[in-house]
Amino acid sequence: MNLVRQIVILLVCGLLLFGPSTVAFATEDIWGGFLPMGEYYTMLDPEGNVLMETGREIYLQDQYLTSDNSLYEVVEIDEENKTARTKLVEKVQLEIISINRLRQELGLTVIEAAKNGSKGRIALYHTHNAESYVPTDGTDSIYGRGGIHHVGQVFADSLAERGITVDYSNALHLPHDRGAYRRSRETVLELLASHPDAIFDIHRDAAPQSAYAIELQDEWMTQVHFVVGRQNQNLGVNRKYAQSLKAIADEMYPGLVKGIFYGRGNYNQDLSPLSLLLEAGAHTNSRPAAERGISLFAEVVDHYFYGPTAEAAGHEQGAVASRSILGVLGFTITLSVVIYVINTGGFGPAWERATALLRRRRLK
Amino acid sequence: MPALPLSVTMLAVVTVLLFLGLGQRILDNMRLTDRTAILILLLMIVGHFLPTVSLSPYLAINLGGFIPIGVVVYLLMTTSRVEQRRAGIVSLLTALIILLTDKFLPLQPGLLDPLYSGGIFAGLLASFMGRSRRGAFIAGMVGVLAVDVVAIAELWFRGVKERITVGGGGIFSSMVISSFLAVVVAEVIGEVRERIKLGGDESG
Repeated sequence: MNLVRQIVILLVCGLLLFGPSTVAFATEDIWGGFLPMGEYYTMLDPEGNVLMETGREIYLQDQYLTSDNSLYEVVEIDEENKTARTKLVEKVQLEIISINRLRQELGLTVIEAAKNGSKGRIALYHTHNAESYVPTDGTDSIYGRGGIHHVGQVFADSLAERGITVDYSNALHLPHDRGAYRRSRETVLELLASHPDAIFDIHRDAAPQSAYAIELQDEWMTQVHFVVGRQNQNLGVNRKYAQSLKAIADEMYPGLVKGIFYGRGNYNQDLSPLSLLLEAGAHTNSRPAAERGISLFAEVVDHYFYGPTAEAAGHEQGAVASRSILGVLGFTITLSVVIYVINTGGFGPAWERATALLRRRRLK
Repeated sequence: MPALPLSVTMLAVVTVLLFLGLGQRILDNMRLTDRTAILILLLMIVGHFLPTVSLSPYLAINLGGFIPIGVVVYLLMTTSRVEQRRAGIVSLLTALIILLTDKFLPLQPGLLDPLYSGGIFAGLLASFMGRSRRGAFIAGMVGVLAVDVVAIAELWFRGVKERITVGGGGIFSSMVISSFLAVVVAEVIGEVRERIKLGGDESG
């Protein structure tokens, strides 16, 4: 078949698929990606007790740190019953690693240490703008800015009341599909341009009401759940960061942080360390409950970043710079080796050429 | 010390490596000279720092976004008609597959992360439809761009009048990552095929 005909056929296929699909997507979410509402994944411990219920897909090797700091790893998935069985990895002794000490561990980028006594900047955004709370918003999803934006605004206001500069992006990343993370990447990059101290992607989960409901300070509210992506180079720092935040929250408001889910995925956390995805309650909780929970969490964030546990690190900036240079050198050398091997057509030829070069130099 | 974006640092490192003559094989397969490749990378670094300009209450354009698009146009203009058509087909197919996976796969990015899927599909398709690294680069970028255009169309169709920023994100935007990843995938597949073919010739 000649190429012109191939092109025409493909263009027609493209129009047939893109055209109606755009209309279909525009009229309803016919291919919604989360588990259907009412269906949840249940994570079980080795004894069969429920650790977590979530609308999020769970994969093998995903890990979960419970509210009492037991770390479990998924070893078996039952797709039919939507259950995930785990094994206990360890009981974690949470350590509060100060924000400035975490910054010192960041290898490739040079980051200015926070100045003593001043509060910095926190960035917020929503990848899944449509997420809403059924008891308050009447639906679990609003095409546009859903109930989650109200929760985000409360979080932003609570941080701002404490003297923190907040960059809150209301940018839309619709349609509500998995491409939203690709679209929200642009938002993250825009927010990172002003060098925030941390960045949060605020979501809500899909789970039974009881999964997130908690009574704190004589009020019913929702817990906050952390999600850390396992598939990015910042996993190590983000793990310590999430655990440190949880440790502070456990001291200030025991039970406020539901747990930490280490899930498969990037979640744009490769763009910056100190990047966390928050689940503020579930669709079955009321929005005011989620707002109360996130408002308390703002206090935790303030305490961690700008409170007594944040140490001055100006005198250690030189060490940070040295580590950054080493990191760049390390990256350069690694990349050079990879490209050299590709160039010469394999490890064997690369080694032969390198040794031949060395022999020639020695003879000279 | 001022903080330098990691992406700019890494791109600068890649530029230096090309200047030193590394990556020659990949450039040869893309039919690019060292000079052209270095110029493209330098322009992308510069583009990272360009501002976003508002054209209307609903449309803004990040000037830096024009550079990778300009690179695609350059690659298309400096190749044969057959290659142009092939690149167009691969781009369309890549966009179709990205759209389908966006809609059919789970909402969370666990399986086949949406950041990398475009580049992988483009690299695979370009490899099996002409083994073109240039086509892979074009499809990686145009495929993702096309899906974003469909998303914008859907928003407007549903009456969501939102300010759209085109071309944002700079060097580490999903478009640019897709294009570079597509070339890497195509290169790896190409090398493996060559190895198999050479192995067959030697034993044959």
